[in-house]
Amino acid sequence: MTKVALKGLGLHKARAVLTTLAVVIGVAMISGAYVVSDTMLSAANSLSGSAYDNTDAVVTKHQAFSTGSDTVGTAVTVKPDVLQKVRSLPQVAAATGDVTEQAKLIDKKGKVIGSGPYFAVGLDPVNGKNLTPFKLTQGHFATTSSEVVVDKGTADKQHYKLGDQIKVSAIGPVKSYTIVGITKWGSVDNFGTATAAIFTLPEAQAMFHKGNAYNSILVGARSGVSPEQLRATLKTQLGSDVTIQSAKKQDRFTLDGLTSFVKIIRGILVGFGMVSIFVGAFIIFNTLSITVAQRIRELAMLRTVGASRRQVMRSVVGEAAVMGVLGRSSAFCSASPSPRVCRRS
Amino acid sequence: MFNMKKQQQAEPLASVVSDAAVRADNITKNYGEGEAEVRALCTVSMEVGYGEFVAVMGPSGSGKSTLMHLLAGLDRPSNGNVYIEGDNVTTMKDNELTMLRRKRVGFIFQAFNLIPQLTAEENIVLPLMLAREKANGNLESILDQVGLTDRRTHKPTELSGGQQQRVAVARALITQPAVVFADEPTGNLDSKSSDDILSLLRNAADERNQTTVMVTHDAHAASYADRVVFLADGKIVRELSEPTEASVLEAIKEVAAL
Repeated sequence: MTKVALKGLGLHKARAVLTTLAVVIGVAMISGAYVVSDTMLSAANSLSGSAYDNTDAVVTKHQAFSTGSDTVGTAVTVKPDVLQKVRSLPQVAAATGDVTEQAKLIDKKGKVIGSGPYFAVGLDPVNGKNLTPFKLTQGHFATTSSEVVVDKGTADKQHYKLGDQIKVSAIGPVKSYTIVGITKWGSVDNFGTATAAIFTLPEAQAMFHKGNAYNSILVGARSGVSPEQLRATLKTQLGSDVTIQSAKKQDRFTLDGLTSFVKIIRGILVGFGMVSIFVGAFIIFNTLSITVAQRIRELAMLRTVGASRRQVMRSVVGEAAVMGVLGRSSAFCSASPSPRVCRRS
Repeated sequence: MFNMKKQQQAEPLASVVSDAAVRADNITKNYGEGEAEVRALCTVSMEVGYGEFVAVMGPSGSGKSTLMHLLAGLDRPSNGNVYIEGDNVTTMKDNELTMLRRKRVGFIFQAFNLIPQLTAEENIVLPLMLAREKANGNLESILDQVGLTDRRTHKPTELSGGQQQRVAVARALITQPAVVFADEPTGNLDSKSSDDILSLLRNAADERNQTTVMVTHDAHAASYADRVVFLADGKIVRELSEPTEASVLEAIKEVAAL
């Protein structure tokens, strides 16, 4: 009976293939949505894991109300005397002023690179080396106001190398910088469509009109001091004028936002997948109805030569199952990034 | 040889006609309800003895196909009972009917009704396949008998009409059923192929003692049978033993004049 059903599939190849295709499209849409968004999410997670690794506390100016993260260059700043005070504490191993804002990188054709976020960071390589997620793969951090370090993903994609000029658009007029270093984001080459440009701290301060102040102060604890102890000490020493948070909570790279953005994208993609499954279900239902209608004589004949109701039922269901399983497997294979995942399904 | 055990177990009524492979007992079949009701068969009784080859004839709408469907358990009569080897078919449940069709009844249709994706041999052993039995020793002798030994691997589309019908005959005979029902088996065939098929059925009756009921409207086909039963307006109006083509044609005229 199985043989009859399977050979029946072979006899109506076009019908079987098209029905299978409906399954493939539906399943591939859904699994593709999950593969893409899970890849992005795991990148976001590994980044947020390493981005704030050695920073045990972040000092920001206490804000009476939130200005939101969309406003560039308007964050309330922390003055350098706070940094001096933090450095003088015995629990502190390293502390650096940080400016993390947004500045767009302009490619050789004059177009903005990536679709954001466009991180622009002022980094003090002496004090901030262990407090930044950026790890050099080539060259050195910027030492003069005309130098910049870009992330590896951007450099690779746009074919920039050390010594190239790149234009940056921040608040003021577009300015050209020399690339002196290429950096990773922790262990990740690139993060989605985000770009990063790392300047000297004074250059970033000037670019975003900070004067001699900072967006925040990043603090690393001396060994033996837990992050919680450090934050408690900072709180008592610095008073209520500033806010002390963990780096993850303060989230200067807005990774939380990115993660939820990825989740929204996943929702949309899965939504489309659901629609195609829904439509596919009708196609499959229709095709199978037509199949049964076309085969009604054959099925009746099978009954007359002694097929039981169950055997006839099984041959129809079996045909559907074969198409379903084949469709599902090829959909997984086409949606999965590696043959390993494909084999596992 | 013919299931003596079954007959002994059969209900008392059946013992009266224990020499019948198939027996219809006052069967009536109505289609539709109320004013639209059509009486296709009206209290018909008939018997087919073991090894007998009976042809059922009659004009269109006389109820001959209905009679065959009822005798074969493909449909249930509105009234009356049908017995195959003494077992009441009328009261059988679906799975009992399945077993009956699988083991004890063979069918040959006008349109051959072979499975297109299976080879000739696979089509022939299909009833055994469905019963999950191995092809028995019969296969070779039946293939030889229907003359398809060298065509066994061909698909139905690669066979002529006559060859396809011979496959269907072989499929009906492979289970050694109590009775073979043939519904206009030569209706789609040329006269040469028709003769082949009819000879096969005749030989099966003679050599294997195969009980056969054949519906036909062809006098020549009916002349191969042992007996011809004439139906008109849902009733048996005449019977003819030892028919010849001429006597059948004459009987048809008489029946039409009634």
